[in-house]
Amino acid sequence: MNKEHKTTLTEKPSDMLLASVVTRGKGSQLMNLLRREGAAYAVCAFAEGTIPSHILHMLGIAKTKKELVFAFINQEIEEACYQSLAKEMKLDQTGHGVAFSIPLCSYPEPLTETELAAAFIIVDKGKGEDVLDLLDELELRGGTLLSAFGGASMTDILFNLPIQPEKEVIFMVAPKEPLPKMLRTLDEKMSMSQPHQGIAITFAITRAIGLYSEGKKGK
Amino acid sequence: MEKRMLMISVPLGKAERVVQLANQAGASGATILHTREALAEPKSFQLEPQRDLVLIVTNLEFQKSIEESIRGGFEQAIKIYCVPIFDSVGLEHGGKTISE
Repeated sequence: MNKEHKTTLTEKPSDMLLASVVTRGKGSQLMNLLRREGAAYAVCAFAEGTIPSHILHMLGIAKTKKELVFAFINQEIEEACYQSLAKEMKLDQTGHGVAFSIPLCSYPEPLTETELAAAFIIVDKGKGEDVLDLLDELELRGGTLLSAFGGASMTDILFNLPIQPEKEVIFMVAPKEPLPKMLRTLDEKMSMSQPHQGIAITFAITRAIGLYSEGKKGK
Repeated sequence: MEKRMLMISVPLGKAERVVQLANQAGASGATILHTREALAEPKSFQLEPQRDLVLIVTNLEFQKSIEESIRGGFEQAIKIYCVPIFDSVGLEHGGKTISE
């Protein structure tokens, strides 16, 4: 094990999910940084940023290539991780990426009222744009779009070939207040309470850095 | 009802097995993300192994049985993380009950 690593994989159980969105190509650097700070585990997925820009939209390149990193950390190293993210990845400056902490079930403290929340919206491929338009109407912008596969009907067989439906996942951070309205709107406009129309879930966020609208958000 | 999201990381191609085991234990669906994993020791030239990250949203009552089912179905240790869900829509119809 590298001497610079402050903890090993199994020393302390993870109680926090540190999710980060950075420009495509910086995901590995971010994962290595967080592992060096003591993150127990980290994975990275390709994603697309959807922050609206009228000029980019006119040019047909409204989406920007991003990478989403999920790192599982212990609460004790959270401060060190955020300091490194600000210093080495410049996440404290707007436009360099965002990172935020989602408590896991093993989080030792009771979850008090948090200002921010994360939303995960999973729909069939092709409906992601509709969801983004709905969110735009609610003035919720800056979601991250991921390609995924469904597992509910993986066992379906057509002409002896297994069918794996493609999905789109929209991952976004927003103030907590409009999220109940967002869930209601998704239910009304996309019939999410009906089977196979998608799901939307929200999580508490205890800390965030680099958010688009507010620039910097502390604890 | 309290809900949880399980995040299960398995080697590429093993997601289908995870979904089967989870469905046997009461899960009603899953979403699979293709990811790559950070190496324990960063190197100047590194090949990061690909992983499937399986997301399973379930009721609290099924969480333990799903975790046990998945762990029991693999010989190697499986990384499973659990995230508490604050609010949700679209999960009401998919929940099985313990008696099922």
